[in-house]
Amino acid sequence: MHWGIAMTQPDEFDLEAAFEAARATPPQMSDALATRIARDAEAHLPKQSWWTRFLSQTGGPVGLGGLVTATVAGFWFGVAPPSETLDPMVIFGTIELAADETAIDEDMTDLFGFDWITEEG
Amino acid sequence: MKDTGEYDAERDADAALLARYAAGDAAAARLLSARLSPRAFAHAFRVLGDRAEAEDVTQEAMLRLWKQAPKWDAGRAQASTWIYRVVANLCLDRLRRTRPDTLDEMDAPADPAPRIETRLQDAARHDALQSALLRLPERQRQAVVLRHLEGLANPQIAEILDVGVEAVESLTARGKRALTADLAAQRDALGYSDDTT
Repeated sequence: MHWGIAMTQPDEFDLEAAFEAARATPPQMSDALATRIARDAEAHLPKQSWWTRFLSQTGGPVGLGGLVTATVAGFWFGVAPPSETLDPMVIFGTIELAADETAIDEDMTDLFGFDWITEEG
Repeated sequence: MKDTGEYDAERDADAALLARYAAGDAAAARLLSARLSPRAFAHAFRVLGDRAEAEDVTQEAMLRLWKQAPKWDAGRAQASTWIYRVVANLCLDRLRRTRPDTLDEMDAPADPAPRIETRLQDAARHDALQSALLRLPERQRQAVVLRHLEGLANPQIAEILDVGVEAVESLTARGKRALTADLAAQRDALGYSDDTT
């Protein structure tokens, strides 16, 4: 930087050079000030609503969509369970799949826990 | 100087961070602080010439930003412009409290402070510019700092100082003339007379 010192006129000065030098070395704020500002920011951080917190904890709208889908599907499996081939009792060989579904309904209702359906239906 | 696209991008980025902060995201505050507070401090320091006062002004300006965040209108203003404006007003308030005799001197010539020669002899060259800035009337000082040291465009400065663009041009032109005359007059005292670079 030259600061325009070589100028001959006493009322002239290369101000742009002085600006350039000042821009190159801006005043630096202290770490203490940064800490004070961070503390203020934390103290005035708006509180999240329960809904916002719930959304963020479940992964946002997408996560919430998945959760709702899983819940509905689970509920539906409870109300109208799929065929017995998916029943773990059958899969692990605890009981054998009967050719006649009526036999299972009659003999194994207490194992399935859905006897109230068969009774009423 | 920033072009319009860069200005808009910066405004949108700051607005997004403010929205995140308003939603309770503490990390957004750290990013915003890193973007805005150094510039706020630099402006306050150059205008006030006092580190402790500049720090107080910066903290107060940022505090107002945190409080404003939930009500922030993203399409209204750039956060940095808003901060500069708050800092400019806080600086003006402090200058008016401490030096009421220099009020409303937009058209007044630079007023050499007492003990100026002593100060300049001991100061580094950057301090000479800083000292000369402090002898400018407040509005000229703010305009010169924003334009030539912070690198803002005249329309943005007009928004910050709440004046027209023509007034900004006038303030900076008069400020530069006064600075040039001031610093040129101090060359000998600063030891520049023998420099040949």
